[in-house]
Amino acid sequence: MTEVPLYRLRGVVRRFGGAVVLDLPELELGRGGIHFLVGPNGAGKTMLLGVLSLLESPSEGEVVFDGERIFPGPGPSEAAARRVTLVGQAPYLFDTTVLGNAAYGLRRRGLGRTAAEAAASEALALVGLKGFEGRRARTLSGGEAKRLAIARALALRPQVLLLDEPLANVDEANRRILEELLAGIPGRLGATVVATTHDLEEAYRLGGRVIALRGGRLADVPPDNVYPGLVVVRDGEKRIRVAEGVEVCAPTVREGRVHVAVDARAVVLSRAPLDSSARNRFAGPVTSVRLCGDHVRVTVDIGVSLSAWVTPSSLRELGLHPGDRVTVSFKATSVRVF
Amino acid sequence: MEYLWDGLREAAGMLWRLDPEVCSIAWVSLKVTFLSTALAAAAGVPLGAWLAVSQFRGKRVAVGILNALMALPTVVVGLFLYSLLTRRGLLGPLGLLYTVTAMVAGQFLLAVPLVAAMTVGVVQGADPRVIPTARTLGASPWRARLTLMGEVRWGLVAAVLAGFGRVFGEVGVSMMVGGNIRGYTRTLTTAIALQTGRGEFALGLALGIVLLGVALLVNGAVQLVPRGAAGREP
Repeated sequence: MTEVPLYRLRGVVRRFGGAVVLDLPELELGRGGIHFLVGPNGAGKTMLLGVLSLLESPSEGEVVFDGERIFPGPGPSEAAARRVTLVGQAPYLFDTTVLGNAAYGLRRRGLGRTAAEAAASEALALVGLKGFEGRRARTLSGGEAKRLAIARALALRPQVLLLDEPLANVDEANRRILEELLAGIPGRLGATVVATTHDLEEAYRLGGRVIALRGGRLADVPPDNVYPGLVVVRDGEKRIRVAEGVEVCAPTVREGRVHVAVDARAVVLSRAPLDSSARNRFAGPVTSVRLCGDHVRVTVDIGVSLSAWVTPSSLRELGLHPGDRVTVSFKATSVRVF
Repeated sequence: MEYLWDGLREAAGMLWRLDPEVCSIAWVSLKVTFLSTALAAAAGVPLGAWLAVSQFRGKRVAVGILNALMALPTVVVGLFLYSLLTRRGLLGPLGLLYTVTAMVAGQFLLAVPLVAAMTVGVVQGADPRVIPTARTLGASPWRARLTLMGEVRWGLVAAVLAGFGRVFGEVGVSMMVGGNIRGYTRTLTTAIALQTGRGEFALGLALGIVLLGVALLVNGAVQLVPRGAAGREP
């Protein structure tokens, strides 16, 4: 029996002032882990988060949460709504103490003051705000305020925690605390985390599933060619092993486990090995050739699946078809390590 | 100028030994004003809050009328109420003319538009994130609105204090429907007008000092209301 997905969206369209800001023919989110909605400003990330919070109804389409159809319909049942909590990009803190903020949701769920404050204190400890209980919430720094907002949501032990740009506009120290916190939530609290970000590297660093959005639609996975890997030293030179027998040359000072991203526009395809300065050269069969707007995406299996963007005219010149063997080359400087 | 110094000296003496006449008049004033302000707050704050959050046709007109009523001259309210309460008036049989009840009613009419209009401003100026935040944390729509009122509490306090200030120093209503009856409906303002007219300058001055003191105290309290508390986070 297949597991019921946590969210199932079908034909979801959201209009805003006549313009379509969200258009998702089909999207499913599984249980557990971290999902990142990645895209530039105006990609529809926040709107999608609103729909997932069950507080924003789509203009059209169907939203099923945990097997319960929410839209179209009268909206979420109280039980469903209570399993999902959203933390906004610039979270609002109530004009009271840190503890009063963290206990707010629990009090609204009918918990007595003592019980609510005990659970709220636990949540504050989770985000590293133990000892801040009696402080006025408005005196916290930006990063601390974000952590408090997350604690306020976590205190409710939600099944789904939705976070809008949780790592934006925080200083380095808070950012590290937040990253560790987010990465630990699914395992420690069993909650599914859905977060938006415009920073793809952030998404990969936290080991999340990436859902790319652009102009309100699911983008054709723009994060091409991102691989987890291990830094190894061969012939006195650092390389990143991304798969058995596949080692990528890239300038890096990092050690251990990293991610590499190869710019798909910088990958050169050729029928025969090229005599060039490119440090990375691999060969493999073409697995797909797809026209995407004004360019063609050619995917080659070099041990991992690597995409290259070429113009339609160069594709014609090369005469590539799936199954053809090609050589791919790219310079070490076109590889980002993070 | 001699009379002024003499008057001031005598007034200071009256205040120093807590002259019973001065105390009785101040007490009537405070009682009437507290009662009318409390009632105006009970009616004006919910009315203003409702106007601020609800959407209906004619809302702008309603808020506009409220704003216009803030400038209502006190004697006009006194006149209007007098015409209702006088023996030949619509509410004449109730026998309320020249009573504390009539004064409270008049001052209530003066304060309600001010309290309500200021509440509209305070609630509309609240941070737009309050209600969504409360909702996503599980508050019902009603509870979320209550949370909003809690967030702007200092702005509401300022609105009520402004209402108090508006009625504490008014003469028109108190004079016309209170009648300035000694020991019963004689307030600080009506007494000052009467005593000064009768040449009892010292008593007028003593009462004036009390009136000024309370007015300044209330004004000071408004200044002490935390800034920004009524609106967005700094």
